Amino acid sequence: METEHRNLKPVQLDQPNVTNPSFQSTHRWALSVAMTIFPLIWVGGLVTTQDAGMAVPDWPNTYGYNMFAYPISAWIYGPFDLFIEHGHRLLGSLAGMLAIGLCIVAWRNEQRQWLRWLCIFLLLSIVMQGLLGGLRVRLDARTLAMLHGCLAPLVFALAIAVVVMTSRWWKEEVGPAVPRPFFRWLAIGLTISAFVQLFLGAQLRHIQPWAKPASFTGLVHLHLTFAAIVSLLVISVAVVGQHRTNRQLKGIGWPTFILIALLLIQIALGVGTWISNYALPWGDTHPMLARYTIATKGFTESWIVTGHQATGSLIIATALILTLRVWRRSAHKYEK
Amino acid sequence: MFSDLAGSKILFDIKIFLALIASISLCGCRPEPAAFQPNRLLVARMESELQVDLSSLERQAESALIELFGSPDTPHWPPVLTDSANYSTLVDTYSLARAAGPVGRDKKKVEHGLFRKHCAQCHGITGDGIGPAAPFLNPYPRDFRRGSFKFKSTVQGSKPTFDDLVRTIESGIPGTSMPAMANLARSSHYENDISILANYVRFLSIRGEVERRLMMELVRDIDEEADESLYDLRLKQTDPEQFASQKAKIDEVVQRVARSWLNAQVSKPSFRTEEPAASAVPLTFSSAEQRNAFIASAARGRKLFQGEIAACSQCHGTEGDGHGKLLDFDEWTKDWTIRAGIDPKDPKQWKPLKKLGLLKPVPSSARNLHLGVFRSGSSPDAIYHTIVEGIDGTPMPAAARLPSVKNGLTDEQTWDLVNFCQALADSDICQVLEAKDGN
Repeated sequence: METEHRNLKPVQLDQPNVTNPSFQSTHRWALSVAMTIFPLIWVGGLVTTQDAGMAVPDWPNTYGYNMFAYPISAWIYGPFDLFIEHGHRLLGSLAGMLAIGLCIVAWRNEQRQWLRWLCIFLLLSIVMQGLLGGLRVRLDARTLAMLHGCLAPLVFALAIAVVVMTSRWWKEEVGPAVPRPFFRWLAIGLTISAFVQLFLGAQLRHIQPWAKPASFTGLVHLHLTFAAIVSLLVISVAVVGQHRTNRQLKGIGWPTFILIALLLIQIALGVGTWISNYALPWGDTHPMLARYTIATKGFTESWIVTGHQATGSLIIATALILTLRVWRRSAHKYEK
Repeated sequence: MFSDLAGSKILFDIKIFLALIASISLCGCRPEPAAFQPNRLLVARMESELQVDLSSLERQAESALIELFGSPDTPHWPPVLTDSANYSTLVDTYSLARAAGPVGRDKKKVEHGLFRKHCAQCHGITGDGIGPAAPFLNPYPRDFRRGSFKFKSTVQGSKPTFDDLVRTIESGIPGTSMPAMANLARSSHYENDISILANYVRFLSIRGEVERRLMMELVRDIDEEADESLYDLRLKQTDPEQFASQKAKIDEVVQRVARSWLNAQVSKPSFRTEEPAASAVPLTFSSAEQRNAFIASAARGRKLFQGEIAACSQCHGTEGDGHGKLLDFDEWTKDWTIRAGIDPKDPKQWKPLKKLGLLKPVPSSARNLHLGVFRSGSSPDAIYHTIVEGIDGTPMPAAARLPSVKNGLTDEQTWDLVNFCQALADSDICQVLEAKDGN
């Protein structure tokens, strides 16, 4: 088997010089977009946690003002829900503007045609997210709010994909490629499962108050089932990543370790989210549980719940990085 | 080169597509219009009791309730109560407008939909205690429709005061899923929100109790075969006199329910025969004499606790750990089980009612007093009140006391019990008491 691998041709790279400053600028712009989208997801999550989606009833204006001309004092010193909703809009606009910058830079410097179009697609996704957020307000529709929340990690993942594909690592010359179908499919499976899991979580967060308890119960059970599936897949990619054929690959190990760390954080945040919302059902068994009183919209509680949702996005993004990198360093049938 | 990326891009498209399909299929494109849910368990109980189909009368009751109280988006105070200045003080229309409807702010930045924002997830949009999250909670969220509340300062069987509701909303209930909303009171932007919610809870409770009484008191006497009805809007045109008579009966029920809230009687203030000990655990005392007096009182309380007059140990266990012999259910559960001839311990009997909104019957557990946390308040005065008035809707009765009960507890004895309940949370004092008992 190993002899067979040695006979495989190295991956042919058709990329420009990686030290070219114009090439690096595309990567930096992509990085800035991704780094803006992540806090955007946090603030968006906080909007849901605080039920602040309708804190500003008009869109694209803010209480009749042009969004960018809304008085800073009214924003900063206003109610907290208004503060985060308007902040979410401003941050979203910033992400859109940075994505426009990325498209211009990519169009001027990037030689890969498909990557230019991927940047355009990223810009369009951000614009679409903005429109969806606006529609959520104009129609006062919770379903659209949920869709808006579910698509956000996909846009973040897309931005991460552009970051990975414009990186120096992507273009480095590598040795003989090895077929890694199991690892590849495991990583893809993890990315998809992590997204399904986040989608189920969003359903739980956006459930209508008149929903039947059976619907909520079903969603909780599904969310727990997918938590187990994602955990299993994270452990599996970590184990497979340590296999001798994969261990020497640069840039594969750290995403698997980060995934393990994120999984542990996510499980803790998941338990914390439940306790912050509903407490534990064993309040009469231990003095500590008996004394615990949930604080509505409390600072810690809000950050735990929002952190749970944002960590979900990070897991998807890290799984995607791993998927793209394993894919990149794998031999494919057509390369033989 | 491009083809290895095509797979990833296709995956994005598939995920977006799946997300869209799943969102639409699971949630629907349009939200359902908000509506108060009828008390189907009560109707089922009455149908089984009277052996008649009540669906037509249930619809009539529903239309009367809409006329009286409106909908969750546009609730209003019944006209018969608006006419009287006294009744108008129970619920103010500004609070109704702020608490009801979908969550959001209007053009003047005034927030509305507070009940859905803070309460409906557990208590349900109707205040029936069957919100989406209800099955996971222990204890279950309160069903306001019986008009019965556990944590209050009023006498047994009486409605809570407005301040009682505010206190529960503001401080929450430790060890349960009921959160403390004190954060809202701290911010000038939300300072009125708690009283607005208390108003709306009172509104939902009155609405629910009116519904209950309409079904239990009026429907029972209606003979549909004799062409009688509860509330028939057609009569407004065809037989105005008959319609006025129906309306008067319903209004009378509404007034009676509202009056019970107005007449809420606050329990007599308690008094202590000795200086109160601190409620914190471990208990602190200003002097050795005070500690000794407390221990002596708690030792007497222990005897009463285990004795036949107070009979606390039957439910709370001899040592107050909550492991008594009696197994009982609260009134909210008994309402549709024992009173409807259904054994709550037999799943075969109650499972068919799940589709009507039934939550699995859970026995009321007596408090483990060693925890040192009492849901109706851990201060000596709050414990005293709980012993004297009991906890409405639960198996915790009011203590048999003098002079209403011969051989009942005196006030000093009641305080002995309070001290014993406090002592149970302090392991050092518990040991002293056990040693005393052994001697």
